[in-house]
Amino acid sequence: MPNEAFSRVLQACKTTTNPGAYIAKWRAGRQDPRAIGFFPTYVPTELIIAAGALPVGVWGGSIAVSHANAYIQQFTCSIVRSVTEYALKGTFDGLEGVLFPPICDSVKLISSSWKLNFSERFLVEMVNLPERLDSEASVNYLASELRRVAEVLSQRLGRPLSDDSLRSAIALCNRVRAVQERFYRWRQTAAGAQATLADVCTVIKAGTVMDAEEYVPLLEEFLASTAGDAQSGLRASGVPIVVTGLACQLPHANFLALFESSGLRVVNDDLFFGMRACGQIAVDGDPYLNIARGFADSPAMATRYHSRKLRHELVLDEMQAGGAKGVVFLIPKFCEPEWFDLRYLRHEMEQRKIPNIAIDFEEDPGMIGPAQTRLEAFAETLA
Amino acid sequence: MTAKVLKTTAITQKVMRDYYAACRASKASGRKVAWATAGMPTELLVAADIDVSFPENHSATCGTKQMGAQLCEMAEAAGLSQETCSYVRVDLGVRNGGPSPWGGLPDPDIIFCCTVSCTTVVKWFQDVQRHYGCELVVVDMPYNFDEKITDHSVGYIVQQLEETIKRIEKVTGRPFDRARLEATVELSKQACDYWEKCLELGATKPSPISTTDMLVNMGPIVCLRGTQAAVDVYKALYEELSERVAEGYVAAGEERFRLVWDNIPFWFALGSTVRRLSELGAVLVGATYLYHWVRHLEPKNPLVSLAREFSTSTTMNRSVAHKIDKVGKMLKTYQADGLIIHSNRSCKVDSLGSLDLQREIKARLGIPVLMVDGDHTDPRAFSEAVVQTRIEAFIEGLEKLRAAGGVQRANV
Amino acid sequence: MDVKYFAGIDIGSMTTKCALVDASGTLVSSALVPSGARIRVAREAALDGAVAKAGIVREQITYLVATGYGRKRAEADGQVTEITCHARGAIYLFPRTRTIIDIGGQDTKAIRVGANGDVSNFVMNDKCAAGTGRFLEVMARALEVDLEDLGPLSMQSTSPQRISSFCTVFGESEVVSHLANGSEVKDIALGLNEAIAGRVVGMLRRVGIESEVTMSGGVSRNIGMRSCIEKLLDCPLNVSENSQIVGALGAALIGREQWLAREHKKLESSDAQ
Repeated sequence: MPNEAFSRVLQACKTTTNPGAYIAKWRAGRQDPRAIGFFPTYVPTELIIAAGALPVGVWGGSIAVSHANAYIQQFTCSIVRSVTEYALKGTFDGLEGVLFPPICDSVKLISSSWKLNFSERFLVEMVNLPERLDSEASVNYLASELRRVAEVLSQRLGRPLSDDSLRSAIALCNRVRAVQERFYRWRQTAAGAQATLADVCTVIKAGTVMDAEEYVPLLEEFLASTAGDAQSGLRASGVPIVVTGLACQLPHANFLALFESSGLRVVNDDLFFGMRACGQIAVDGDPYLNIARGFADSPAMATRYHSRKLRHELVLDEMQAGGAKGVVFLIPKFCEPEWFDLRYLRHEMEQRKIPNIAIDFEEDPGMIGPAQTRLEAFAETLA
Repeated sequence: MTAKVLKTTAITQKVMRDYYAACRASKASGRKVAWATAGMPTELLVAADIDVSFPENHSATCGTKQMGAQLCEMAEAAGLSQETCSYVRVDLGVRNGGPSPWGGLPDPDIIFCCTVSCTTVVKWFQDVQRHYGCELVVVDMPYNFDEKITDHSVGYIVQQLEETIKRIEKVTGRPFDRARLEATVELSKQACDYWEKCLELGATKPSPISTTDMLVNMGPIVCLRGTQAAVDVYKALYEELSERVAEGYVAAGEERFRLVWDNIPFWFALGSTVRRLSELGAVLVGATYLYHWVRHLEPKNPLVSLAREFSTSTTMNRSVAHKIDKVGKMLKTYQADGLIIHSNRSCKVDSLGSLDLQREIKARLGIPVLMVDGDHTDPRAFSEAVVQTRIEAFIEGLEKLRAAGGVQRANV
Repeated sequence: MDVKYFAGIDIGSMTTKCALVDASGTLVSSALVPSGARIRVAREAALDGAVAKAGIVREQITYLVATGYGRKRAEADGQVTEITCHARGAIYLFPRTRTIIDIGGQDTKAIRVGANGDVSNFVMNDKCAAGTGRFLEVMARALEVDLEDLGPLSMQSTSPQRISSFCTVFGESEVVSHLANGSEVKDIALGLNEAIAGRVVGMLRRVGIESEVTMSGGVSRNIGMRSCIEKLLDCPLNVSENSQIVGALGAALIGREQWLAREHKKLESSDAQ
């Protein structure tokens, strides 16, 4: 039955909530196990897998930031501060390295600061994605950059990183992306409504920590059990809406729970985009060029520029796919890319008379009351 | 010695006035109007006879003229969060009918955004594009995470400059003149070289020029590179500074404490801050902000040279380690007694890493460092009373240090 | 005792309000009590007050909707956010209103409403107390005047003492230091109202201003504040003697509608049998 099967999936995914514990278990019994962290979610983990290491998403959390205040000012999003706090505590010392994408100015600068301060503990390296994705020059640049990073990883781990191992890694990550895509489609069925936004976040976030060889079968097995769900005849409750936002920083579970408790049902989202959005990447031929092209062919993103791909069109597509009645913009505090896009997106929504609301958040839930009132008021306007 | 007025300022001001007038007259005379970010290699545009306006420069001027608060409020009322760069909010305020010392910028036909300064500018210019329905060209200059720029980064930028040339040709309807580009880059090189020489002279102890005067004369190196006018201005400045150094002229009268400033100044309170410092016997002898325009161009290899130099010459596109190194060298060159870091709330790219900078400068050079909170153009994120109190406390500290025998410099 | 009444309870951080409407949806009575520390106590006191004023008995309350910050913890037949309730209440009092500004004890809301009382957009400023009833309470104390007198005092001033701090704590220090420097209380009071009015109008502009504009909430009793806001908006503000109970009134009206809908459904299903 879907209910039990889904609970089992959630249970399994929650074993990665403490990545340290998961990595320790993963290491047991393996020959020379290595783990490499990456700042979510724009790093092609194919490179890490091809180097024979476990990619581990370096998420923040609601840790009280105090030591990190000596390294980074407070007018930044909470994740760059919380991961720095964790780093100062030694949480990542067991990793071979941490890779950063240049998502935004905050992440660029914090990665540079980490390089200055933590290089003696672990490798700090940037996977220097281009900011433009609409030029062939961007694709070629990125392919060269990925080769450079592969070389760095290979040196660091003392292992070769062959084109063939990278092709295998692409195939594996393709399966991850495929299974997540199917999961999103299941979520849109009435039976899938049992998956709350918090549940979806748990499942997708687990994909950034769990070994793909474990994660893919886990989800494939579950999805096989949902075969009859599209015709289940169940009626889902709650007003269907779409959530859009970057999610390199995740709200606390208590905050995420507010959606359902306010009477909203999240039928689609573009949280955790980054590599999830790349779809199926070509396996044959030059693997570096393929990954580069796959990334460049992604849908519109808040943090990248593409002259022909517009984010509001993506949001409208997401609404249509899920049958949504409104949009919630989920904005990390101090996130400049999101605040800039918000003005433009709200204008586009208003033009089309699409109800929408913006909620900002930090990793620490703080006072839930105000966010709850806003979401409930929004649900009341849609009722 | 009586205080002298810097003669070059009058020349600069005339050059800038003529430039603004020419920009405003562009539309009427049928010339194409462009906007560009300060980090864009506008030599390409000058070589194609396209007039360029610089919204960052415009926003800074609005800030200096105390229009920032009103313009930011207007932008926030239009839905742009206070957590975004204040240059952008000021520009949005002006575009939404707010005040401007020049009546705003001329409507652009095509705008050029270079990512070298920050990721924010792309968002800004996309908004400008939507506002005017004009064309947008983005030139991406990847961040220099390592000390050396990668070959593929240079290649990527050069390819984009070639793409940019094609777009310029479409806009002007004329083939792009490569020889003219070389000549333009040659003029740009001359202006940059003179600018750099002026900075070197400005570092003399005692300083022949105030940092304020340097900032006042910065216009042409930002807005008019590639023109003869910019070369003439900085040649004149260089000659005037050479004279001043030769006669031992001290711009500040008394230089009890020589201080260097890091980050964009708070434009709306620069004057009052400098005055307060002067009352305390302290003088700003240099600013890191002036160094974003020091470039070593090679006119014979224009696109590669523009790619390399524009990508690497500004600390905004370099690592924290690089900036610490550069500031350290600057403090020694200027024989500085202290460093003031502006922790600029809405400019993350220039402000994050400042805590590392403060710590490392103190540890490596033993030089006292003060950090003050503020914003480049939003006075509502600034408290004059708090900043002045901090400055006073800092100077008191410098006095005590001097009385006790000076700075214990670490091995450098 | 067949006559039915519907109650709305607005549990705010400083005060709890109750409004009663009758079966025709007409406001009958209202009451306001301090919220204190216990929601249950405040709810009872407010309800009793409104019932007594209406000259009815508790048993006649057929349906009760709770709103406001404490709505989740109050015993009620329904819970609706204060945004939706303020919109309904404001439309009842001023049918032509389309924009509402509510300045309460600890938050400020700007709401756009349609002709039928439906909310089309809203903006809340609940991150800190600056500009709310709580802020003014603190300032009144610092100025050593009654909160009630802040408004009239400010109207006597022609040269406002500019207040730049947005934070309640720093604002208080600023007020104290102005007093120490010899600034007049009335000038500071005007400066405070102008500072708050500026932020409030900023919020209104974000939500879009459409005539008529109504002000609700406790701070609407401050005539100085109203005057400052009207000046900035360059249009008059609707203010009712019922300004403080707008939320409770809206809750009562919504309660009546929810009860009618429920009864209608019962009828339908019994017809179907």
